[in-house]
Amino acid sequence: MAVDKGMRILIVDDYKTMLRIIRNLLKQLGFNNVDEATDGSAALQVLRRGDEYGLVISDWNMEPMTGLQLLKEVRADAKLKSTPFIMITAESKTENVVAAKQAGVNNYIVKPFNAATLKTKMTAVIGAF
Amino acid sequence: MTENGIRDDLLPEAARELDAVALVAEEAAERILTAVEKIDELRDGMPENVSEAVGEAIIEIFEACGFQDLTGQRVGRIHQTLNGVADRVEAVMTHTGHAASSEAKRNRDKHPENVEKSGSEPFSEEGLLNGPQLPSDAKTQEEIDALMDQLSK
Repeated sequence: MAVDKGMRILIVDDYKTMLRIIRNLLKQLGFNNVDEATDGSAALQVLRRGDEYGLVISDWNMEPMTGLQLLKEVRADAKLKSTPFIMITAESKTENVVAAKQAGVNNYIVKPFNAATLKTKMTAVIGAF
Repeated sequence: MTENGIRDDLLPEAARELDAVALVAEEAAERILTAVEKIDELRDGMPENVSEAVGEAIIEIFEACGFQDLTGQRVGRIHQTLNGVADRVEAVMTHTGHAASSEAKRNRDKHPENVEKSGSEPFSEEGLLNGPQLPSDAKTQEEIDALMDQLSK
């Protein structure tokens, strides 16, 4: 089944420029239904409002709630646990990747990244588009 | 330069210069993004082949603007280092009997987020918060992919 490009996507990053970049890259890929949050706790509030999100794309290093903590909260929430989750972060150590994988991340992109990588990882997580 | 000078003048000045670098980088990135978004809006009126070529160039510019995020994170790490140096200077001054000025603390109070980050336990997964590695140390996307594949087995 083809991916619905009208799906709601939540992007989470504490750098507003990065939010703007990811939003624009998603637009170039045909995804325009994009919401933003600037840390994990704000993202969790958005996710718990009730709208269904087809994908979360989150940074790791944010305050007060990190991307890893957000991921754990999502996976522990009965209504949100199956939400696809991609981490985009400058944290590239093995222990970070292992911790994210153990917490249930669907894919992991290291910064700096390009649009082709974003598309490849999104395709792997939500299907071809 | 004396310990007082290092603590009260040199380190705060270095911190201010770093903030200026981060601010300039952020402003530049925002201006570039605004300009590129305007160009993107004009693509609808372009011939298809031109629009496609412009679109590819626009994507490259968006990708390149990621420099601001990494610049900001690296500046944050240098702030932490400066705070660590200030603490060491303070300790040396205390040890040698110099009266401690509150100036250094006031300067560090301007960047509580960095002080907090260098504290003992700002996050439960503190050991995992290292920020961007230097290019020579950072894993490539291919290495990350291989690790993810390995962990999925």
